[in-house]
Amino acid sequence: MRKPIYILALIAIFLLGQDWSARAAEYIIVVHKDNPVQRLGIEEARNIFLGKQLRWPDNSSITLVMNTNDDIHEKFTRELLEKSPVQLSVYWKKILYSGSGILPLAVRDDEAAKSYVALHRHAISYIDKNSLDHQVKKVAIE
Amino acid sequence: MRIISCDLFKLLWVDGSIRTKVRACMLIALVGYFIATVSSFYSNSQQAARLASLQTIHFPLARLSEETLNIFRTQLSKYEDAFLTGEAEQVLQANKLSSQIMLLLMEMEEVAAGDPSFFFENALIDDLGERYEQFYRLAAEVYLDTQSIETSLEMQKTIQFLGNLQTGLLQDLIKLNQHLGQNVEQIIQKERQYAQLNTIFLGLLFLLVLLSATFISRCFANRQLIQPLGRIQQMVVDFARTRKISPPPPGSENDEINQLATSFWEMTQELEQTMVSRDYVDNIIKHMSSCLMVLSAELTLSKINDNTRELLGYGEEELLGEEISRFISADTAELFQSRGVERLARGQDVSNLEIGLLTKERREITVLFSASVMRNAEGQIDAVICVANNITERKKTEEVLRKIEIERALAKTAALAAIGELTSSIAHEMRNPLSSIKMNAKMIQRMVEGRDATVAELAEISSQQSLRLEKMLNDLLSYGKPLTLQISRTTTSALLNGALTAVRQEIVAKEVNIEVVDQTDQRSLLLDLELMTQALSNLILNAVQWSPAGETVKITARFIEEEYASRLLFEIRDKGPGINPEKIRRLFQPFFTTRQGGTGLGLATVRKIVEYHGGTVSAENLPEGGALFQLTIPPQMPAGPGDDQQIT
Repeated sequence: MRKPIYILALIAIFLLGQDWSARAAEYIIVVHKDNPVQRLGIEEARNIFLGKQLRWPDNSSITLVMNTNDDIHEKFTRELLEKSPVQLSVYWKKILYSGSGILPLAVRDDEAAKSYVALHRHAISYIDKNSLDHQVKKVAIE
Repeated sequence: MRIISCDLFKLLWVDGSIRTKVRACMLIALVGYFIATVSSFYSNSQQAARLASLQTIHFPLARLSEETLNIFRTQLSKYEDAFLTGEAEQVLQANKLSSQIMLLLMEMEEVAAGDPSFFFENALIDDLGERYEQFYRLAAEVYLDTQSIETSLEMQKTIQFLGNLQTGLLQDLIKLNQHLGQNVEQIIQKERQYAQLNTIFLGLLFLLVLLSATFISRCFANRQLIQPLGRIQQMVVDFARTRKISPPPPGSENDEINQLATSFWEMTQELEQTMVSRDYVDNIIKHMSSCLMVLSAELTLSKINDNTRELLGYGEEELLGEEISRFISADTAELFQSRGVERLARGQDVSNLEIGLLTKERREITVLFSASVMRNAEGQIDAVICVANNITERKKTEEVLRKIEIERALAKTAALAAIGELTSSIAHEMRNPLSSIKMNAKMIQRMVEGRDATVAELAEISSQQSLRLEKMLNDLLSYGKPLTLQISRTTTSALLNGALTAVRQEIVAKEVNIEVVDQTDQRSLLLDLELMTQALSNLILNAVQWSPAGETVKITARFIEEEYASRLLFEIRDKGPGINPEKIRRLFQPFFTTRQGGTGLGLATVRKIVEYHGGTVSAENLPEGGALFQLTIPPQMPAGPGDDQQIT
């Protein structure tokens, strides 16, 4: 009677130790295809999405597009920006309240994000890894 | 600097009394004090004005600014909460603060308007008021409904505009608050520095004023008081040292110091005319050939000259204060006491008293001592001025001369004695033949009387000539004998009476008047009365014989003071024809006569008697006519007074 319990416990431990990332949503940062930027440092990417860096290296104005798809948005804010989605929202409201900036453009899903980025040369957004296609260019994060 | 000093002195010259000068000194000090006080008052009032501005403008502005900033921060916090949380209540609470902020800004504007120097702050506060009014009106509206903020870009921009507006307001309020706070701090710091500088300035000013007042007072006092007093002091010193004194510069009649200097100068001028300078007197005393001694009323030495010191051989300190009797020799002490001290005690002067002084080596020096009494204003004896002349050498010389004179006299006496003896012998031998001739002549005269007149007359002449020859022989015998003086005490009047009695018959016969002037005060004499009467009567007889009838023979007797002693002088003046000047020298020689029938022994006998008494006899013609015979003898012979003695 005890053996089946051990077995179940071992299975549970096994299952808990598995890498579920492959299965969970995984974001990538995308820009317009013509954007020369190929890769960004983590800090650089973090500054861009927190409104602290406003221009590309060619001095063009950066247009932020926030993908509010729940899974991607949450993963993106927690992993890259190290904030919760609520905290990020309050962060941007404070920026807005202080008058130092306005809220970034928000889109509902990956497709909308890709479309907007594809249409705007200086835009940057994040989408699910699996949603990447020819419309946009992935930027590696180092 | 010198020109300034001169001008300052001229400015400070006060031509007035000492009281005026002292008041001027006090006025200078008071002016200095007044300047220091006014400066201190001005400095304090300026500081008070600045502190009043701090109290009424700077502090209120800083306080209001701080309060406005705090309330605005509270308001912003509430708007932010409302924006983040969507709580309308927070907006309402924030809106309530707007009126307070506006009132505070208005109050600040009103306070800042009170000081023109707050122009910049006033403009800033006005601008803040306008901007805040814009802000709170928009904020009160916008923050009430921000639900669509994430979807409405317009609202986001409005919020962003509000954010910029409030951020600008907040920054400007902070700057203004900091500016006003710093302003207050700067003013306080400035006031502290100013207070320190003021303290130093006032200290330096006080020191400067003190030094200036002291310098000016010193210059003033030096010129007005010290220099004039110094001039007087110099005048006194110069006067004491008998230097020439310059007259004081002309000054005001009110200046007591100048008056004092003028009076002193006038006094010195008067004194110079009336007084012999002390140096002059000292010089006289120093160069006196005699010994000068000044005695106190107690006859102690109080001042001596160098000659006295050298004569006695003592130091000045050994002599001063000592009684003079200590230095009188024992031999002359009694004389000094009787004719010196006692006379001085009676206030009488002492002159030419021959005494002996004892030197330090106990050697006796004979001096002629004279002294006179110096009295003070009350008539009391103040001092006795004594002069002593050393006559030791002179005494020695006199002694030698006296011995020579005695030897000469002895030789002469011996010669005269020899001649006298010879003459007496001859006269004695001639007496008997002469008596025989006289008797024979008388007999012849008696025999021829009445018979032969011629023979009788010749016999008469022979008889008279015999009598004359006999008298001459008697006189010769008398002159030739040595005299033996019978010294006795008598007076001048006795001497004169005796002499006049002896020649009374001749006086009556010649009808000549006799005038006797006796000025001897009946002083006692010691001499041979008989011989001296004979000598005096011879002189009177001579005068009577040469005087015309009716004329007066004047006889004067008086004492004369010679160098060392007094002598008795008889003067016999006649109105006769006088004496042949060529014969005056021989007048007292034996056998010399100018009178018909004279033997030539009368005046010689006078001289012999007088010389035996130590006297002299002389004759001279008077300018008015007639002859003067002078006879001097010591009033007392050297033999002891009181006792009759025989001197041969």
